[in-house]
Amino acid sequence: MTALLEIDQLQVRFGRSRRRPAPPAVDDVSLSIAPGEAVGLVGESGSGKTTIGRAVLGLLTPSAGQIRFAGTDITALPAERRGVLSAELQVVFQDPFGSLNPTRTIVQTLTEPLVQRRTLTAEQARARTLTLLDQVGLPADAASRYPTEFSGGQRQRIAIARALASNPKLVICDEPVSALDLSTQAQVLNLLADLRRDLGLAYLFIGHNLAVVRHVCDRVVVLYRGRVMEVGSAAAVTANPMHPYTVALVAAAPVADVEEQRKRRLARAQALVAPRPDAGATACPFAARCPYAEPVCVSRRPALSVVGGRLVACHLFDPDSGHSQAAESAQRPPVPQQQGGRS
Amino acid sequence: MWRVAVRRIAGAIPLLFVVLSATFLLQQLIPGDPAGFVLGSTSTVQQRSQLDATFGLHRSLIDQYLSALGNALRGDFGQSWIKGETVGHLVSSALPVTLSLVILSTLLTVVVGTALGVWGALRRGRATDRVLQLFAGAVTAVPNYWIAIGLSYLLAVKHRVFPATGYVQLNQSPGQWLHSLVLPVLALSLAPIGPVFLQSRSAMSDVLGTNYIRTLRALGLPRWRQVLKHGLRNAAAPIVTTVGFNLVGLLAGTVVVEQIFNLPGLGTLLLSGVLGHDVPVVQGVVILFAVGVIVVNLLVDLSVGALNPKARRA
Amino acid sequence: MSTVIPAAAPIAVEAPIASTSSASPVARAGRAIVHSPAALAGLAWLALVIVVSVLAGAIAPSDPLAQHLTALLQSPSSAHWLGTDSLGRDVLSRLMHGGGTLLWGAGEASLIAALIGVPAGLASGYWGGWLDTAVSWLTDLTFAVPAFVILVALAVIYPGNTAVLMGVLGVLAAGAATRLVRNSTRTVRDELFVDAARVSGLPTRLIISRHILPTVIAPVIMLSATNMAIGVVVLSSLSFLGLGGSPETPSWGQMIYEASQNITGDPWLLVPPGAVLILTVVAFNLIASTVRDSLPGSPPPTRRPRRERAARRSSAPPTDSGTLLKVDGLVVGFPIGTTLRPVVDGVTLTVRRGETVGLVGESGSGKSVTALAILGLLPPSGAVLAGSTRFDGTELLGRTDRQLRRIRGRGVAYIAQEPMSALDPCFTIGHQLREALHHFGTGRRASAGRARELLVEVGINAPDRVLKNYPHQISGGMAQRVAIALALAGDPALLIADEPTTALDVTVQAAILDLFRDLVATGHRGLLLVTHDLGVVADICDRVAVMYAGQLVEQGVTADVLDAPRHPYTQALLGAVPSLESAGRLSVIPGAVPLPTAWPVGCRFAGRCRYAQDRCSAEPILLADADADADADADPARATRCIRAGELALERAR
Repeated sequence: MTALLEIDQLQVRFGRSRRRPAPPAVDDVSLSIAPGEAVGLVGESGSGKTTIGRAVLGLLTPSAGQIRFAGTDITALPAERRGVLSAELQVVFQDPFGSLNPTRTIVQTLTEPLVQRRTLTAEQARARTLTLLDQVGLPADAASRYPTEFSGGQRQRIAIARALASNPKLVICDEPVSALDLSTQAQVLNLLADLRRDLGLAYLFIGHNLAVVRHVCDRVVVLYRGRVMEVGSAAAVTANPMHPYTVALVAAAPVADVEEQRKRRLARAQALVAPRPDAGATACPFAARCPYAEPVCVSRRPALSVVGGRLVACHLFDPDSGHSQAAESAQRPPVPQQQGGRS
Repeated sequence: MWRVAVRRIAGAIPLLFVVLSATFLLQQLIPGDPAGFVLGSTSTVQQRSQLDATFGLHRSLIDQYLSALGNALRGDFGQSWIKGETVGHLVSSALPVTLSLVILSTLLTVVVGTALGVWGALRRGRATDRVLQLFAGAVTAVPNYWIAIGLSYLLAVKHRVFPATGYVQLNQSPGQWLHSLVLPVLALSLAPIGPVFLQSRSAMSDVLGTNYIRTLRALGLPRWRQVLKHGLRNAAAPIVTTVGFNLVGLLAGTVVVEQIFNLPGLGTLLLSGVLGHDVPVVQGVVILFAVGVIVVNLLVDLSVGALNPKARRA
Repeated sequence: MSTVIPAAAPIAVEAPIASTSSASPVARAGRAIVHSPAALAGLAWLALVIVVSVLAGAIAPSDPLAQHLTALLQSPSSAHWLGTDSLGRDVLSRLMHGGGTLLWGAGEASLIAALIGVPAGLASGYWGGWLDTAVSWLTDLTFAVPAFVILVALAVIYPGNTAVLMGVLGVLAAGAATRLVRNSTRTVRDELFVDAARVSGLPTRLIISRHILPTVIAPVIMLSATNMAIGVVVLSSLSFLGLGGSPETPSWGQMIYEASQNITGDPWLLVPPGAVLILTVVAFNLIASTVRDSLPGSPPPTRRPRRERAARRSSAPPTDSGTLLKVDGLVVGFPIGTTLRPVVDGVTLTVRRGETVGLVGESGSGKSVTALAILGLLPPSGAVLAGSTRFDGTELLGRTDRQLRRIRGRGVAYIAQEPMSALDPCFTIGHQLREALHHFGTGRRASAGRARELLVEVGINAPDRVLKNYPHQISGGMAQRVAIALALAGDPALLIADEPTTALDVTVQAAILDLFRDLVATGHRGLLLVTHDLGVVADICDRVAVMYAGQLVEQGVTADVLDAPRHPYTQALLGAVPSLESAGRLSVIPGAVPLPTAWPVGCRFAGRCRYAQDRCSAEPILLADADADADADADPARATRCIRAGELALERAR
């Protein structure tokens, strides 16, 4: 079965090359999504997750690497020139207030791509709009209104409806619930899960909240400073994180339970060390904060090792790396030797 | 930041070059024979060929252009076709007059406009603010030459408070220098108060609503410090930019105002050059004005960078 | 009215919240003009001038060039309504004929500027790159040219040729128009809806014409109105100097010149042309400013409600020495429409030394407003309507800024949500710290050292470098630490933090929360933490108060509230939090938070509550002690606003 989306050693570098070229925003990232699969991209600010999404959508051109959608190479194909392909690859953005043109009605926004591509006549497109609105739980009279008349959660539903309009196979969800309240977030997440089940959609779900990503996705890719740190099934990665950065992420994610938080406090105090000032441009981007860092982490870039169904980019899990604790780390990272100071 | 400054200055040089060339082209736009143009239709052939010879007007276009450019770079802008003095000399004696006028007017406009703008921002939405806005709207519409005539009539002719015409040099008598400039400065500075007021009110209003002003308020810092130190500093960039645009407009105003008050500045020089068809003089003044504008824009850019550290990276 | 929620319910259908008509900028500008009496008056004047100019030949009382040599310099009379000039010509007639060329010429310049500026600005703004650089350079060139001076110089070659002169003016003004359109285009181009349009495969020309152009046109209209005003002034100045127009056609500028020549003999001559000129310019400026105010991004006019003094609760019990903050029945209102509506509706809470109290709620619950109101930091439109806020026994409400100055920073400090925007971008961090320290009484020399100490206290490892940095040069997490250091400068006993970690990465958030815990413990301070994140509450809050629709619905010790909630809203909120452990369906609260304009009489959550009964909506519910059946005293330790709390066994879904 051909993968729906394949990203191969993607690299994106911003800024014109002057004397000091900026470090790449996305560095050697590879992943694939099968039809109907939901893959999450998790990372904090600067991880490059949004950049990857934009590259896949054709909103920016990568510096190196390849992106293939349903077998077609779309790497250097900007969004405006994708023609028919754009119907199959759609997006839901983070900002519900900026992603809808305030001067156009809902039906105009939803029917625009359909009529433009001449897939449907105006009447058919209108009927489709009503179907879509029903699917996302909005009343039919919403069609003739303007985005300003809706709340954030409602606008996100409209954005989802727009993404579904052309019957896509893959929807890029770029932090779709980050700007929403907790209760609204739950509604939208349930909606996304239902739609996926009913329509057989695949998602590339970009987020910074591990719990949210785990809710929606089958697999998750953990990013840090533009590079892949860990890849695995969402349940396994969150229950048993292997890469030291994933460990730190899981420990830092706050849970609404006082006892649990107290336990995590110790874990997260150990998970990150204060940034080493002499880190500089190291081979492993996490070395500056990692409690297990050793000279090999600074000198050699960790390869993606396969560890029981997971991919981990860490010398700890690579028996050939030369890291002193490499052999012990078969199933999980060892307890850090030094009591890391506050980050 | 110095890198930015050097880059801006370097960018200004081609602008200067284009302006120089364009003013040279001005001469070429004159229909027919330049000499006849200057001397008028009643001149004889002999007079015209003499003028031609004196000023080398019969040479080829490229020839004249290159020599004019070369001269300009050496600071030699030629000689007046009519007045018998070098353009350089005429311009340098007229420059201090216009400079005094422009600088004093700008100072008055900025001080009054900014003060009113800050006041309006502090009293935003209330009666005082509305009155100020009406006032600003009214003064912007008053043409400077009209108010100049009016002021001249009221305060110089009817009631002899200020001199109606004439200019006293600064080094001769500072008091009289100022005295001779009061009316022209008032006339010039009135209308631009409007835009400066609006911009400072708007910028100040935005700044006063920011989170960092709220932080200062939460720390208990006195209001005057919030407004005058932090507020003005942050609002300054758009105000300075507006003042820069305003200065360029002021140059236009000097042409008429100097006429009305009979001040021997660059504006008067330009007009006499235009009316007398004295092309080198016109060229010289235009070039000087253009240089002035470029310098002002440069200063505005540098000031904005100095005032607002975020802008320095651009 | 109870709602049973089956397991796989269809998503509840929601109605839109507000009703406005088209938000197209041009339509809004049009409506703004129609609703503004000043702008309408301006339009009316301009219409009058145009009509009069067109019909001048027919309706003027006499020929503008006809000289009545026996009636020179006459004052207004029945024969000549505005008098005559030095050549005996009728002023009114000359006035009527004099406006046409001005408007025509100004219109030409304005139109040319727009016709060049819009396409150039759109192209350079949308595509950027070398095109943008080139256009930008050309724009700079037009700014470098002293336009009026050039026109004067050109007038020698094309005397009286208004068309050419105004054409040149238009080209020179096109620079400003281009820059305006370019900046507007760039802003819109970066909007997500443009990205969405690109992703849906819309061709570029449609993206520009449908999504970008409508937003860009409105500022162009504003600029064109301003350009008309400028064109009128420039052309009249030229004719004043005798350089524009022909002597045969009367013009206002020329009339002013003639007036200046006869100023001693007949000063009145100056008035009519000046008056019409000023009115015309004012008209254009009014239209321009009305359009400008209607553009998005212009702040709405602040409405100032009548300020009412906060009602003092005379029966409020005295506070003991350990209590830092006592808020009693706080009511805060904001103008919605024309009336003041409460947004915070009777909040009561306490913060003691050494304790962290969490104020939890979603957007619209009123939690942030509560925090701001305590220190008197509400925006001008907000007002405290009732209640009492006492810090260490001293009443804070109803006091002026000057009176509050003693408490702000020294007793109570406020830490905002967005750390980057909370620091003045124009001054270094060291400068701002020293300024604050100096304000609180530290001497000049000592301030430098103490500033450094403060940075170390908040966990910044390279304090010397940070002191020299500007706020935009440091990361978000570092900025929040700096903001906390600033808050500590006055050594306050109480900290109020409004969503301090919402804008930060989760690993950074964890560190900041640890810092807060440290500061409370070692400094024996109190912390009121406003947040929407229940995980944050679980981490550092000793007690928590849950807000919904302006009211507290539950409060108590954190562990108690989170493990065994006593209010259905709290339970529902806990059910909506995605957990790391399971991926089951999240429990959803149907419906939406009622707006302050639509708060029901009874329980405000009843409409969305699965346990609601008729009596829940009957009358207002009070916050009651959850541990006993008796009514609440001033501040019960465990309280809930649910009358069914005793009967319901609200299990937290795990």
